[in-house]
Amino acid sequence: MSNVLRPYLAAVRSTLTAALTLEDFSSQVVERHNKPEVEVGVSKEVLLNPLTISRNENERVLVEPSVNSVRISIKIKQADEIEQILCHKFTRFMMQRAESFIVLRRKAVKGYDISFLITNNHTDIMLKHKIVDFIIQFMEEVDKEISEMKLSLNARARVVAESYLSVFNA
Amino acid sequence: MDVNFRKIDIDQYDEDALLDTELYESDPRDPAQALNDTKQNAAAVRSSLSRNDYVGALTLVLENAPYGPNVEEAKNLNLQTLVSILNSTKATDIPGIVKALSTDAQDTLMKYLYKGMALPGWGDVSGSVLLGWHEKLTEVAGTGCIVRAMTDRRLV
Repeated sequence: MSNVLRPYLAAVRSTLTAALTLEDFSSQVVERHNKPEVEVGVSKEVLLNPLTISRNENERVLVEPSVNSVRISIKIKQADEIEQILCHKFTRFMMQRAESFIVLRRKAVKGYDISFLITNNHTDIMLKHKIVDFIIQFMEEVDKEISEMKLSLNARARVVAESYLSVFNA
Repeated sequence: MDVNFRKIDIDQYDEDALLDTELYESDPRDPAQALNDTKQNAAAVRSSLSRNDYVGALTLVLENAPYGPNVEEAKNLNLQTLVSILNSTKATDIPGIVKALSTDAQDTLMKYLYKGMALPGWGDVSGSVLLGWHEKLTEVAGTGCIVRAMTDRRLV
């Protein structure tokens, strides 16, 4: 299905490029505080319309922009139960180490598998097009990783089953 | 005396509180009239499609699109009409059609594309069609079109 993958990733890239225009904005609710507005969600006027880009029912990206932060949630394609378990473990592994990822969110948004939170501080330190490249590359690679893990899982299971059951055959 | 006075959201009674309706100009038509307009547009669109006049059909759907919270039926009907147009165009025609639209129509089209992709069921709209249109529309209209789809409160 790579003929749909390319426009899908292009759509995600252009949406992210549009959403990542962030500037510093102190909290209007609490003085002297500066919070990512998309997480607080109290002031209606600083939140922008959330946009969804989807390839099919099972693969979606939700982009929720605001004036100083963007939350990107990805739903990874999971065809069967094995892939569901692998995906869950893989994303849990990464989300537990969210500090070193910088832009990763510790908990995914409900209905999605993994979420990123990018604030104006991140866009100040890092290059915007590189952040977008990172997210796109992540989306491409996570599918590959999960199918690789599934293949090696099946191979190992076959070897184990063979060596275990060969005893009963003799 | 109400014992739960501590749990009252005091900000809603503040006279400076910002209401959702103040953020944009609401649709001047009432729900019934908006629905009528949309139905008339749908009929006109079918005749345009039979003549292969895609630009005219799209312009009919996208100009004066119903928006706002209380015109749900009209919005859904408009979306269905638009989806039928998108499905019937060939992939090679898309750039030409998009270039012929006005900027406002392009922005409204972008809003409808995102709305279509956000729908949970995939009855008659396919991902590849919407994504293909999105790609060509971004090439023509640029990232600014996406920014306007994000910031415009008049949700179609």
